[in-house]
Amino acid sequence: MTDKENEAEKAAASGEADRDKFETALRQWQSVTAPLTEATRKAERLTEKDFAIRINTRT
Amino acid sequence: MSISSDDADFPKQKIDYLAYDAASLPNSLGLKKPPFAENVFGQLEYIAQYVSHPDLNCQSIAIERRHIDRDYMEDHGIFYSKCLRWYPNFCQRVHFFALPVSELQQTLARLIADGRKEGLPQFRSKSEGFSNEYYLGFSVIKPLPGCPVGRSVLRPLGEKAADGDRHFQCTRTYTIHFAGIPLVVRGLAFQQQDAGVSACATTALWSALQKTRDFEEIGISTPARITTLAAQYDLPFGRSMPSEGLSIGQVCLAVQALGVSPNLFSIEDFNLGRDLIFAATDSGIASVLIIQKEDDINYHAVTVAGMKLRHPREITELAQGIGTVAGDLRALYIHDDRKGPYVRADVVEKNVQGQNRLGLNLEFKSLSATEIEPWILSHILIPMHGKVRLSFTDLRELALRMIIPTLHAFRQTELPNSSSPTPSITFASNIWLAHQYLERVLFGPQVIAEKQFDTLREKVLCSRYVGVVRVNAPFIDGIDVLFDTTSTLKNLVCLGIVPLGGSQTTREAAECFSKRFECPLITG
Repeated sequence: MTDKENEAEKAAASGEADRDKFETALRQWQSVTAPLTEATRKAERLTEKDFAIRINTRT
Repeated sequence: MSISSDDADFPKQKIDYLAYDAASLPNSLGLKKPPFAENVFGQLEYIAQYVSHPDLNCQSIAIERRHIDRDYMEDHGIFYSKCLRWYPNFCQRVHFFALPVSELQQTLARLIADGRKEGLPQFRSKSEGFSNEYYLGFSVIKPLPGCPVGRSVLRPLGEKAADGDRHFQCTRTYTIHFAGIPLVVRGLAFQQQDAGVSACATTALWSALQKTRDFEEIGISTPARITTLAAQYDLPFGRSMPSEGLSIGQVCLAVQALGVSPNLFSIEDFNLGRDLIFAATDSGIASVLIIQKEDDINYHAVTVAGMKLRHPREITELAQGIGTVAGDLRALYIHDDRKGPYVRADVVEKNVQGQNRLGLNLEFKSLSATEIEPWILSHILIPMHGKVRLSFTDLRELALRMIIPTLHAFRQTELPNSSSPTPSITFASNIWLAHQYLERVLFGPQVIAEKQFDTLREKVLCSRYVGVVRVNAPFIDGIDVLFDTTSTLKNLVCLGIVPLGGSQTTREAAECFSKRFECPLITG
């Protein structure tokens, strides 16, 4: 293996390690935000009860 | 020359100029409390007191004794013309001014005289200048003894307050003509419910749609028409008029029938409610809040006209490392048809049966006392253009699920020394007309460089409305992620990444977004 090939292999390995590190960090942060994301989605889950609510406060 | 007619009853205009006295406003308008009714002048007294606020300083009024109001005319045609008792089809209109009555008349006369000499453009320009300085707005007074306050547009209070800054993004400019002079006022129209053609939900929606009309042509939305459309296909509570209130479903039907999409959200979480109200209001979209009392089954509807933000601004964390700009929201200014326009409602966290809900403490001031009325937010209804498919909740989800985790992962990978303590990444989500977004990055608060702006305006094809998630952190200058709002979460189109500064880290983070989200990086 030439020096150039060696360097390319090292760079590829380093790039892959960085990608792994990035993906791990991304998943970790997604698990932190998951409850907040779930609360957001919940707001859109409407049922018949929501639409039947009567708004009628008088003056 | 006088107007003549064979008919002796041919209507004539009469304008009275009076020194302002809050206590005698009902008398000046010739109003009398009718039998059987209670708290008849509540809204009028609120308005009388509101324009007396030092920020507005009303000193004189002008009353047009005959005024044709489009909203009342339709209410009259549909409902009041069919009563046994005769109701006129015209109203009065009272204008509020921040200068003494003697000066008012002289200044108005001078505007006309100068206009004759200087021409139309100068006349209009001077009238606008006069309005900006002295005109506080108007209130239509309907000939309905039990509910006189009709379409009223008043100037909001000033930006600076002791406990924060007031922002009234949900207002628009109204041009009216008074005695031949065009007057302009920026506000959001208010009126009280009459329980004939309208209930609180009708008037709240009517106010919200006033703002929608600022950027979209929509159907005529008078209170009578809203109630009619709401009851067209669904009558869960029997007859539609006299109005016994509307269901949320009926309100959605009326919004849809007027050519606007009802974005409805159920709010059981304080942070979510605060984020959504902030996002909609900051985007200039007046939302309808459906609120309830803790110990009551009654629901009420109010319209958001503006908000009060903490000053100076601070980061509020939703979780460690995740912040929201909405944390600065201290209070809302709402139109409550039971009280009046721009009623202050403090935003508070409230524990209700184990849930952390968003509470609104409505503040009612009278001469003798301040009354606080606590409510809980139940739903938010945001009227949006039909082609806006991405909602504010979609943008929040994108920020929390993809954008913030990506930026934190970038930080941990590329900036390992910045990891302790974990810096907070704050997000804001907005939906703006494309040109409004361009104005934002041209004039601030965060601006972009000249060449970058040219790229954005000339080479990026934007949807009519652009979804924007803005992230800020101590290690970057800020980055905007732009979304095509005509796309959906499943087939999402990211229009581009706009770095809001020239630092190396900002550029690298923006490049990271660009690669991950497969969209162009917009630079100079």
